[in-house]
Order: sequence, then C-alpha cells, then structure tokens
Amino acid sequence: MAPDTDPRGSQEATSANHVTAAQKAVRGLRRRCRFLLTARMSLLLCAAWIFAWGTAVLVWRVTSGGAALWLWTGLIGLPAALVCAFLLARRRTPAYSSLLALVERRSRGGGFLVTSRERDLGAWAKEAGPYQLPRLRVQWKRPAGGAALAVLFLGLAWLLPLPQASARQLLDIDRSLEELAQQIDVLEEEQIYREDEAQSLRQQMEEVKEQSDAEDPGRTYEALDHLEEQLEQSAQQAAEEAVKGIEQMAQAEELAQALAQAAGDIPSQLQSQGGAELQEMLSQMGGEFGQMSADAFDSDALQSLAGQLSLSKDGLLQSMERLQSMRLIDAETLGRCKNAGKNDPDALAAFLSENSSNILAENARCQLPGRGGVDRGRGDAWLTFGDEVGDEGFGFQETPLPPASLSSLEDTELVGMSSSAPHTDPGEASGGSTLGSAQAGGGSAVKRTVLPRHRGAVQRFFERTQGGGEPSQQPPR
Amino acid sequence: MSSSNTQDPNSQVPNSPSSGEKLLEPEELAPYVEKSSAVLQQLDRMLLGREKLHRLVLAGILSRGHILLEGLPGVGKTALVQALGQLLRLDFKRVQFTPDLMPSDILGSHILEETPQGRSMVFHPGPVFTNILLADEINRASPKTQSALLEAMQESSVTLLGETRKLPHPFFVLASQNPIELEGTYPLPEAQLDRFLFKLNVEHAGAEVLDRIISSRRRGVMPAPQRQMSSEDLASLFQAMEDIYLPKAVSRYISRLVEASHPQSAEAPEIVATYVSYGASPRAAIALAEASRAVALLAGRPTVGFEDVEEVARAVLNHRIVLNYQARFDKVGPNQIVDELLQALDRRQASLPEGVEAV
Repeated sequence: MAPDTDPRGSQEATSANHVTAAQKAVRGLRRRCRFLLTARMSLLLCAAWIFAWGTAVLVWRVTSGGAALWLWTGLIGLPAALVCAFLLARRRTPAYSSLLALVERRSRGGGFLVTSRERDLGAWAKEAGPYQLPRLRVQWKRPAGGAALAVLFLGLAWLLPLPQASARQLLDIDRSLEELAQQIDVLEEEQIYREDEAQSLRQQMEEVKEQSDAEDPGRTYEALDHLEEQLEQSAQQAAEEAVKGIEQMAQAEELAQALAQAAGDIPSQLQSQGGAELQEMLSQMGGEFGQMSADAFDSDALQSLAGQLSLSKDGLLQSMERLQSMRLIDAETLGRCKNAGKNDPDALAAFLSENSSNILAENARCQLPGRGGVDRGRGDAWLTFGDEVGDEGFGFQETPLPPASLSSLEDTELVGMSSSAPHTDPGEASGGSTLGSAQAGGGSAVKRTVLPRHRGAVQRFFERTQGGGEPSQQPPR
Repeated sequence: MSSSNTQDPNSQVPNSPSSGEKLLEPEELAPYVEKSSAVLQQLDRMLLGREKLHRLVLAGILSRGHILLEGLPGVGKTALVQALGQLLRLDFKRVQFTPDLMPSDILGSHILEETPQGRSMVFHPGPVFTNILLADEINRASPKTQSALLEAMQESSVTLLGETRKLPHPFFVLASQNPIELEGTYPLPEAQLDRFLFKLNVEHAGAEVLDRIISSRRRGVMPAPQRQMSSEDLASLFQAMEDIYLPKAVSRYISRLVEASHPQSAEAPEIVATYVSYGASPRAAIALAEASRAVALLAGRPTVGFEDVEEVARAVLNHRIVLNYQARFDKVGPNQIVDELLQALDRRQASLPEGVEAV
C-alpha cells in the first residue's frame, strides 16, 4: 500500500510573514498527524478486536455446535476500539513545539521559528524563512494487512462448517430393553420382585437407554448384561426356593395320600405318628399350610390336603415354566423342579400297611435311652457307662530298634550316576553306622566298594588316626 | 616584577543578555557582523583555501576558547595563528614544545636580582603572558609541562610561589600537534584535551589551492593584513556574543546530543554503544552552546539555529569522545561517531510515533 502523504507537504509556507505562516502550517501538520495516527491506531485496534471476536465465535461454535445471536454483540467493540484509537493517537501526537523544531531544523531557518514562541522576533520576522514543511508518511502495510487478516478470520469463524459433534448416535438397544422389561414384568407378576424393586429396575433401564452411545457401545452392553444377570440371579434364587418348596409339598402330599389310603390298615398309633409327621412338614412349609392342625385330618381331609398340596405344587411348577420360557432359568433347574414333585403314595401306603408293627417296635426301641436308633443310636441318646477297666499290669514292652543299615543321607557321598539300578554288595556291612559298636542285625548289609580314587583319602585318614589311637579298621587294599 | 590581579578580565563581560527579552535588531547586529566578516575576509585573503577552518577558528576566538590544531607539518598551522595575531592586533608568542621544556620556561620564574632596593627575587614572566600563545607540537612536551598550562587555560591565571597572576585579556592557547612521528611524544590527557574548545584538523590543501599559493606567494610569505581589528572591536564582539539568543529547542538539542554520546544513554545510537567508552563532558555542552552562538553571529543572526550546532559539533566533540579498542580495530573515528549522532537525533527530533515519519 502506498504511503499516505500530506497533500500540503513539501510546499513552502509562502506568506509575507514566513514565521506566522509556518506556525499556522505546523498546527495543520499536527492535526493531520493526529488524524493519520487515529486512522492507523483504529486499524490496529479493530484488527486486534476482530481477532478476539473471531476466536470467541469459533470457540462458541465448536463447543456449543452452533452460532448464537449474542455473538453479534462483538460489533459493540468496534466503536470502542475507535474511541480508544482516538485517545491513544491524541496522546501520541507530537507536541506543537516538537513539530516546530522539526520544521525549523529541516528548513535550516536559523532558529527564528523556535525563537518565535519565546521572544518577539521584531524585524527579524520578515527576514526569517521560508520554511519547508515535511510530508508525513504513514506505514499502512502492517495495520491494513492485520485488519484484512482479522476480517478474513472472523468470516471463517462464522462460516466454517464444523462437524456435528453434538449429534450423538444412540445405540439401538430397544429389543434388548423390551426383553428385559418383559422379564421384569414376569418377575413382578410372580411376586419375586416387589413393585418398588421392579420400578427401580425399570428406571435403571431408562438410564441405560439415555446414556447409550454408539461411539462407546461397550459400556451400554455391559450395563445391559449387568441388569440381565441381576434378573437371572433373582429368578435362579426363586427357582431354588421353588425346588425346595415343591419337594416339601410332594413329600407332604405323598404322606397325606398314603395316610388316607391306609387309614383302615394301620394301627391308630401309627396313624397318629404319621399325622404328627405331616403336621411337622406343614409347619416347615409355613404359609396357609402351617395353620392346619393334624388332629383334624381324617381320610377326607387328608385327601383334600393332598389335593391342595398338589395344586400348589403345580402352581409353582407353572411359575418355573414361565420363568424358563422367559429364559430366566435354565431347563435343568426346571427339570429339578419337576423331579422334586414326583411321588408314589401307593407304595408308601402299602409299606405302612405291611410293616406297621415293625415300625412301631423300631420306633419304641429308638425311644429307649442309650440304645441308639437303628444302628448305633441317635445323637441325643443317653450315654451309659459300665465298670471301668484299670491299667495295672499293663505296659509297653521296650524293644531296641535295629541299627540303621545306612548312614544318614547327609553323610553319603555321590560316587556316580547311572540310569541302571545301583550295584550293591550284600556281603559287607556299612561302615558309617551311627551305632558303630552295636552288632549288625540280621538284615542285609551293604558292602561299599572303595574305588581307587578314594584310596588316598582313606590312607590319610588312617595315618591321622594312628597318632591318636588304633584305627578301628584295617585300611582297604 | 610581580603583579597580582584578582579580577578576571574575561568576567568583565556580563553573562546575561543585556537586551532583556528582545532580540538584537538587524541594525544593531550589523556592525558586529561587518567586523567579523572583515576578519574572515582578511584571513581568507592571507591564507588560501581554508575558508571553513578560518570560520571555525574565528568562532573559537569569539567563544573565548582554546583551539587545538592537528595536522601534518607545513600545512599552515603556525601561519594561521600568526595571521590571527596580526589581524586581531594582539600580542602573539610562540613556544616550541620539546621533551626538555620545563614549566618555568612557559610560565616564567623568579630570579635573584640586584635592585636599587637591594637583592630581591624578581618575577620574569614566561611566554604564557600574552594574548595568543602558540603551543607548537604540544604533545612533545612532558606531562609536567603540559599540565603547567592547565590553570592558564582554565583560569587565565598563573600561580607561582603562592602568587596568582592574571594573564592578559583576552588569552587564547592555539596549540598544534603532529599526528605522525609519535615516537617520544606524550599524548595530551583527557583532562587537558577537554579544555580545548575545538580540535581542528588542518588538512592538506588541494592542487588548486597549491597552485594559487605558489603562483601568488613568493617563498610562501603571506600578505600583510589590509585591515586590523582593535581590542575594542574584539571586546564589542564578545559583548555581542552575549546577546545571541539560544532558543530552548536548540539548547535541548545540544543537551540531547551530548547525552546521546554516552553509551549508557537511552538515546545513544548503536554506534555509540559499540565504540564509545566515555561520552562528552558537560563542558562539551557549554562549548557547543558558545560555539553555536559564535557561528550564528558570524552568519549574521541573533538566534542560534540547529544548523549552527551541527556546524561546530565535530570540532567540539571529536576530542571529547573516548573510543574503545573495538573502534580502533574497526577503524571508526570520532568524526564518524559524531555524524551518526547527528543523524540519529535528526530521526528522533520530532518524537514522531511509530509508523509515522516525516519525509
């Protein structure tokens, strides 16, 4: 960009009184300088503000995903920048005396112009001058370039297409959630979950759905698996309790039917014992069956009780089948439930009729204290003690142990390793026994062969011991 | 005979402007300009081809300063001083400085003499008791002898055996030194250099000037002056010097110029920071102001302009700026430093802000 120049520059202050004309021209030069400075500072400050504005727009668009109306308030900064530029230019404008000195020096005016502010020139005013005003040149390149770049940056910040970061892709888990909802409904209907527990689980499902993210499906599927596992554990626990309940019901049903069928064939004592047993079973089951009294059980009541038990058992089985149909429990657990419900009341009735006397006798024996039950008595049977046996005349016979056939393994010496069985000489006893003075027993003794490489060590041993006493053995040859 | 003057002849001229707030009118200034121009004209007529040098020497005389002339032998240093002595009609003495020259050879000494009153120590003034003293080849004298001139140059007085004797008014020392044959010389110390208002280089005359000299001067004898200046005329010129106005802008410019000659100054240009060890002293600023006034008077103006300062800046500052060894290695002289200083101040004169410049 071409430098701006003062159109009045370089012209001589042509007037009758050169000093007065020069003073007037210098004032104009100062105003011109302030105007140019204001324009330059305006460009610089506006460029800085527009850069900041563009940065704010860009940051907002990236973080929020779109432009907002309040971003246009950045326009307010432009008039503020102009005011600041004017104030700064006013401060930086050279003083009148400085510009006067500048003109004086460039014109080589002999000091009259600067003296005119301090003293009366008198007749010298006509002789002073002429003065040549300098031209002001402003460097527009930097501020204009900066302003252009700033405007370009602001435009790009407004118009640059940004990736839709906020459009989060939700994971398609509706089918899984629907299955879980059905399972929760079934568990609530079967009274495995209370209403508040079921509602809590449904709320968890909603949260999983809201927080599902296609960018990170692992967390969502993990949450779904956790819910599914929780439901399965609850169903499995209910199934285990159902197996136990069905088994108890089946046993009670079997006993009730057997007692009803054998009512005339068994003695009344056995009948009452069976009733007591049935009463205990019903008490263990609890619920509606725990309220019943066995004294009121006649043949019809027993049949009716058996029917109720059968209905309850079938109800539990149906519940388990429903849980299995919802894949909350596996087929094996359902099979266990079904097996637990099987009974044979006819066989039990026949057994009671045939063995009623024996059963009573055995039961009577079991009632005797200290005799135990069928085999060695019950745990709570009384303990009976007879005459105690003394320890007089009895004692342990002291028998000396035979000497060790081999020395301690720590004292053994590795003479070699081979894959074949070790060769031993059974005709010679070992010499390293701890009981050296004891006579070898009748067991086999191992005769160790002294190898030629050991002869030196053995020789030194006997030479040493000759000084302190007789060697215990003859040196080997 | 000894004499003791307690009054400084130089202080006879008042230091404050005599005309108050008013500048000298053109008609008031005209006689002084005519006198000074006449001296210059005579000088130019007597010594050919030295117009600028003559103008500076006369400015130095009007500033009542001492001048150190440096130049090769035979370039006219002594002739210039002799011509000045003739023109100004002042007493002129010449001392050839040698290594065995003693202070008493310059200042004078007391000698026991038989007088009608009996024997007494009589003071015999030395050659320093004159108006213009030419100290020829001053750097050949010992420092002891050189320093004997210190008081004479600064105070215009001589103190011997406790008695202070004033030198004649006016008193100028015009010294010369040879830039070659430096073996056996004693360079002037900075303190003594600072007492010289100007250090002027008397350069070799060109072929045209030489042609004029040999064609118009037999044996190089310069013509006698056609017009001489009386001591009263010189005193009036000194008086006129007091009325030359130094504007504040120009005095500020002088202050900045001297301050910028110091490498520690914020306004010092790069060349000063690189090559200058010590800048000019406050005496340099005073010398610049006085010499600028003299130049303005010679130009016929009652006010000092920036161009007057620039004209004398080299002569005033070149011997007052102490350069470092780097300057010697890079062959940077004091005149180059002064020129850069002037240009740097020119660029900053108006304190124009960044991005705006005056062309």
